[in-house]
Amino acid sequence: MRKIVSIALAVAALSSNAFAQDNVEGVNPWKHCGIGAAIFDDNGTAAALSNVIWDLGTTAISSKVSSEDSCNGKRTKVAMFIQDNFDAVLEQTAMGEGEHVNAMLEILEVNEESKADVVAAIRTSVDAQTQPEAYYNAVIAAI
Amino acid sequence: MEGIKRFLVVSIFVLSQLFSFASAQTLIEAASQHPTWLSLLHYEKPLVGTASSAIKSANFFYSKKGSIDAHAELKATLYAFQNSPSEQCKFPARSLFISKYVQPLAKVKCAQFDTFLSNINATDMSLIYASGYLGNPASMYGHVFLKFNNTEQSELLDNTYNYGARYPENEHPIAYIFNGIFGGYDGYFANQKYHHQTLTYTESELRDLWEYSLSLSTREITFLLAHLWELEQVPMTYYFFKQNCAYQIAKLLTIATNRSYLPKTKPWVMPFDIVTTIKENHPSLIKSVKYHPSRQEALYTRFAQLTNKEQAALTEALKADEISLYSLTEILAPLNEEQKKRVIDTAFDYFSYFTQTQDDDELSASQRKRKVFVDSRFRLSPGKSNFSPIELTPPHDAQDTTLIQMGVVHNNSSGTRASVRFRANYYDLLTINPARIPFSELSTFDVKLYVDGEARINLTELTALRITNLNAATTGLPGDNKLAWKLATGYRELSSKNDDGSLYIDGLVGKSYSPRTGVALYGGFSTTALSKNNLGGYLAVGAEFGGVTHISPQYAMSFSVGHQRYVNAPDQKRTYAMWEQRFFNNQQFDVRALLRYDEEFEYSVSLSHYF
Repeated sequence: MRKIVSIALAVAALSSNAFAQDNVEGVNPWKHCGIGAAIFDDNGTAAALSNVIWDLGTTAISSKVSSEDSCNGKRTKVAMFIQDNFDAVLEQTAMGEGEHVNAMLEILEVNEESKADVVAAIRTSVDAQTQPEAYYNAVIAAI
Repeated sequence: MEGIKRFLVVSIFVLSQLFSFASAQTLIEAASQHPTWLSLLHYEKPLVGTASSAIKSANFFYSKKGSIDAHAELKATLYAFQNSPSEQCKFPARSLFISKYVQPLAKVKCAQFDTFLSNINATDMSLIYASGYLGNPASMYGHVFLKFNNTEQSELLDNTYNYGARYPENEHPIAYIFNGIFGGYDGYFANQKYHHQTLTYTESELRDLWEYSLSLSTREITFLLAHLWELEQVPMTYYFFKQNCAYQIAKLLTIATNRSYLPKTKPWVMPFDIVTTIKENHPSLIKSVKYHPSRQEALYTRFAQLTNKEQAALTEALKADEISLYSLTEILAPLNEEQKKRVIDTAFDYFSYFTQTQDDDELSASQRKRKVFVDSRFRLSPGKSNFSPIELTPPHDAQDTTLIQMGVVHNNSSGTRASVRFRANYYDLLTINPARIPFSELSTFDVKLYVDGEARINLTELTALRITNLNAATTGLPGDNKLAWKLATGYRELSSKNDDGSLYIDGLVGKSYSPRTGVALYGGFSTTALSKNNLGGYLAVGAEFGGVTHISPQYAMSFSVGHQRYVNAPDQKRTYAMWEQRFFNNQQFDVRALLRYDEEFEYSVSLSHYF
């Protein structure tokens, strides 16, 4: 349930922030696109949770968010992906492969031949204590 | 002579114009009644009266009469597209329809729509069926949504479209159920990435996903997406039993293919009905079926594949109050590298499952333990562990959900009578239940009548709702021991020999255990509340135990035995027992034999038809 709340808030944050600056070097998706802040701050994004799908019970709707332009560069996308799926991403990094790690590298347009090397590099700089933002930094450093 | 010639030329010109106009009008008239146009406008034909649109938003129509007059709407749409071609960008599916069935339209560049299509970049499309979730009344019957596949990327990044109702924050549960059933909410289509769906279903709600890859052309997929674009933020009244996710997804598929995917035999629609209708009536639409297990199912399947030595190591590590990297390394020391990987990767499924089922204190201890396993995995070589793929029977092979049952019943008080039973939905402990929650039951509107030799009809039972979830633990791992529970409410005769009826609520809370595949045993505290005290009291409490076993595909049985005393009349007691058997393995038929004891024995044999 916590994961769902995190997703809902993070999705809402992305759709409500217009920082399409992702291609600018040094941009921090957690600061500029509200990823981490949305989860912990009472900044009004919780209202998005009222838009709940009856069939699903728990999932917030944020229509067309996946194809909107706002804060939608590949680094922000990957930061969002890491935040949403962090348990799976970290477990699969420990395993050395997995569909979430593969999807993460695809967002960053890492080519097929380089993926194993990138994962190996990430494995050397993260561990079980690593938090999503630090993990993201390790990924960016590895590509 | 020259005058006659001029007259003839003018006459021919006028006539040809008139003919052309009449021809165009005929074309528009015919197109306005085309099933696809009516579907694009979401016209619905009620049992009585004329068809009208399920969409009431004025913005969705060009004509003021658009929601009740498809012809007027087509003319108004054509007029709008001709006079302001960019209007086509708001309704790209209508534009495609008019270009094909009425007349070519001026080409326009729709930048936003083109971006939308290129973002989704669908080369393929799937219908995803999510198994039922007994934790939420709205999700008990499962769910369906569409997944637009871009085969050039990870499927986790694919886009999906859902349909569901939106409701206010902090809605009261009673209002939530009432409004959901009786049209108190608006429903919308919404787009999310597939990894959000897997997180919702397989990780958080522990529901299995079944992916039906559909045989649709690129043109059909594009047309469907064009209509989804038109439906952005367009509300439609949501009704849980009809105009729900299954209904709207089936309607979308109809728009793309001009074929119906709604069941014709019943007035309600459930997600299961869509997959079975496709399988039975349009099997060529299904290219393949792929299973995406929940983390709970992944845990159970992987744990069952571990060797005894691996299971023992995992159990020891998980049962420890606290664990360090050193102690985990010691526990895993007797295993080789591949075995260690299998144990740790199974533990990851366990922790994911555990996260959804435990309270905060247990959770933080569990998270600490999980980090130790993650660190341990980092120290092993990269590479996935080896497990056999999970192969389960898909949902469309389950028994159908609506039941009509005819039989013969005998007890000493009333003699032999005929029995007639109708159950609107959904399944019980003995039906053939692939892709449903193991050892569970979900019945709604279950009515049973007895008819004697003089054609007197007796209402024996009308159960509004019966839910059973035995939650049978299979691994023996700590935390894999959720409560078994039952809840049923409705009207029934007080006992086998007492024709007086009473409203009732039955409940049970206990524990269950699955000693082997297909077998579950349970025991627990039971209670019964009645609206009459003819048997001694209004509230009875006691104990019940029972079990279910699917011995072979052709034979399954369940039993229960209970004893209760009435709270307001402790000297009065009630003992009851039930043994039911199901014979044959068929989606539409079975034979049931039931032996029941409630003050006296009652025997029955019935033939069931499911549809």
